[in-house]
Amino acid sequence: MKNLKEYTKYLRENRLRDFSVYYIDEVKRLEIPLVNLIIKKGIIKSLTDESSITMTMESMGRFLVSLEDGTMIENTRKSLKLWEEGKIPMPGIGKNDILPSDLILIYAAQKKAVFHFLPDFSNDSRESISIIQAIEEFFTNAENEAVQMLFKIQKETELQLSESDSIKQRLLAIAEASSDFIGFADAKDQHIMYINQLGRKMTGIGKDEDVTKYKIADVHPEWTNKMFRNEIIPVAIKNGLWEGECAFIDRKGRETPVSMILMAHKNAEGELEYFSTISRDIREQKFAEQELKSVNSFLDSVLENIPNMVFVKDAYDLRFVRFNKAGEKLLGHSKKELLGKNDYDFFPKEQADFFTEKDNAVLNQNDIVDVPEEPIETKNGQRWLHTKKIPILSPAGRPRYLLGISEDITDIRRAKLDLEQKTKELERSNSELEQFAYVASHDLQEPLRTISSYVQLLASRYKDKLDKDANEFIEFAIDGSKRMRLLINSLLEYSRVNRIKPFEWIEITDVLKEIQVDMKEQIKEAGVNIKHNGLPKIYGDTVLIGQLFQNLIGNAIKFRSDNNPEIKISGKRKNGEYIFSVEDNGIGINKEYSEKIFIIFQRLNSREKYPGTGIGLSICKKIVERHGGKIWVESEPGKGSKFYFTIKATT
Amino acid sequence: MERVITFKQLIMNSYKTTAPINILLVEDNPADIRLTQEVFKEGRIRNTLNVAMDGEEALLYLRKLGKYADAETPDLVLLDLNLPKKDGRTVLAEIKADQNLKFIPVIILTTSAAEQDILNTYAHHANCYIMKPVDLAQFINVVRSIEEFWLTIVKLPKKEE
Repeated sequence: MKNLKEYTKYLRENRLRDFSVYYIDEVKRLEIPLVNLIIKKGIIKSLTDESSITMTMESMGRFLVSLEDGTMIENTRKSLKLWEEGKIPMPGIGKNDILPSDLILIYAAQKKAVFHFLPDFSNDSRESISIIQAIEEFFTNAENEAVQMLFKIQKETELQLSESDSIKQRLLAIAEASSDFIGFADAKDQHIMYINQLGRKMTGIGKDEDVTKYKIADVHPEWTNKMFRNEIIPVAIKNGLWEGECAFIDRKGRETPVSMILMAHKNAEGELEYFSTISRDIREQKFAEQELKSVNSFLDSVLENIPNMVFVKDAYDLRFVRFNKAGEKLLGHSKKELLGKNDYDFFPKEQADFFTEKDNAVLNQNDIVDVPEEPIETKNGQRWLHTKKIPILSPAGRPRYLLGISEDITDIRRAKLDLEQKTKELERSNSELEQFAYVASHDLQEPLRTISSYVQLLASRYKDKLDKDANEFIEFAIDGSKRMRLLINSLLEYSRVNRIKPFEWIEITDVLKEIQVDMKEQIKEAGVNIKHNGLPKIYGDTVLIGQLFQNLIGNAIKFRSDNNPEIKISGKRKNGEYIFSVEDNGIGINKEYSEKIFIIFQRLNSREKYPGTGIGLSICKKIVERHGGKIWVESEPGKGSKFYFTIKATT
Repeated sequence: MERVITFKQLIMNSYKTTAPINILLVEDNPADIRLTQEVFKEGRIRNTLNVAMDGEEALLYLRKLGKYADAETPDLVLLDLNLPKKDGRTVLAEIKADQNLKFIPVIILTTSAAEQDILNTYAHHANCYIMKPVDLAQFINVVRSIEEFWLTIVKLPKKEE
């Protein structure tokens, strides 16, 4: 953790001018009588000209160095000693020109300036607080020295002082101008003797109101009563001074938190006479602390409740300094067990080595490291993590901490592996099925040929030589074998779609020309008019694409209506794919069958009217899918069908 | 005596003058053997159809070995590719490598549609490659075409007796 030394070094090296200017502003605001005197005597012209800024920077530099090397209190003592001896290193300024309140106000300005830049230096509340404490400690000591000096000089010059109205006036002016609460109260009945302007504001006592009717307890909230009784007053009496946090309350019940110094004053006989206080409004400081606390607690609750494991390691020794709930749950160890330990205390050496290697990579490269998959042994068995490791830097840009965020990907990973396995199995079973279909249909050809040949031989030799039944039976057998041949051929064709052949560029217009030559007889007989123009070139399997168009055209011809059958083919490129359509004005398809028609061996019409195996469109679907596309139909019975299909475009 | 030559006599004469064409069918499927026999029986050309049911037997027959010592060298071989023991591809290669046999025309008659088979058999000097049609009418056509081309149009080499 950073300390006061580093902070003052930071001020000196980076912010000296800012710091000095701020300090000057503060001195101006406080209207410190000594400073006014110095100006009046012409020792410096004004506070804000360049030469006094330079001077202030020099003295503030020395001040910060002495804070840094711890010689500050010693220096303070020395200057107070010089003051006591009347050896003041400023021409025209005498011993009595400097009052203890001048010193206290100067310390106040210094203290305020030192606090002011702290938020720029550190965001860490623990760190800031420890620096604040160090600063407070120093100034308290310095003020004590000054106050003690005051008593000493006061005693020596008591008469002189009491006779000096002008000094009284001056003291009063200082007290009234102070940005701190200054007040006195009688020690016997604790009634208030004096409160400065700021004090009246803080307690809600009117400017011209008589303060003596109030007692100490009237200007402090009730909760401090016990504190005053048991701690503040007794300690002040015993030690001459109490210092700590307290609060004032105004007439409307509004509290102001303060950092308070309460002094007990005794007379020459050592009898307690009165109390005085200098208190500083710490509402802003409190508010900032509160803010910091609430930001921290917000971050804490985020950290604690996110489902990922979050941990922080010290960059120096890679020990855990933070762990969230998800991390405890994942590892099965409590924060208590984890904090202060390192990976080797919990994981097998091999894993700890791996984690440490990644940690070092983060710290050496000063950059985020992403570990997409790492196994980790937990109390609940092995898990898999996706971890990001992030260096957290010090203001100097060196890694201080290592932040790790881990997502438990065990289930996702398992699901992914399962899916891969299943996909592989599916691919295999698919290709086996295709192989099977091919072999089966191929091998079925042989016995089928025998059956159909002999049945036909029977028919040619014995027709009309047996009886009427025999003729009929032979006819059925012939018909059956013909149909089986069609089915087997279709099956063969279907299983051939997935045989991989290299893709090439295909001019669809040429493909259609060839098809029209091949189907010349059919087209002529049906009197179909086929129209197309400006079709794009696509990348695919020429034979399959030819078969696709031939099947769709064949279908359109087969299911034509009686008047002016027409087929329109169009296609264009759109959003990374080609979209084609084959439109007819035929009998159309009922909407409920628009998906069914693409299933293998599905037929919608009677075999007598529309012969076929019902495999054509399922082959089309397979061909389209092989080219990364899909096929569908829009149709209305009696009006025609429009088949659409897409082919993935290759860039 | 008036020599009236009837049509029948003319035919008989032609039978006398022309010896029947001798065909060796190498085929293992009895149904196909019978079918081929039936179709040739109804053919226009007098023929003798001998059958070898596997590759080894076919080669024994052609080389007149063992029980085939008295076999006649065929005018034409119809060879199936998928055969037991020695398959048709080997039989073809051996015929075409044999000085005494390589002049015999060999017609591959098979169900195989494999491109590889077509290429290979032609590379081994098959005289032609025919796929067995599934339809009987087409099969009859094929046999008629073989008769027409190989046994009528083509002049085959004279056999040494």
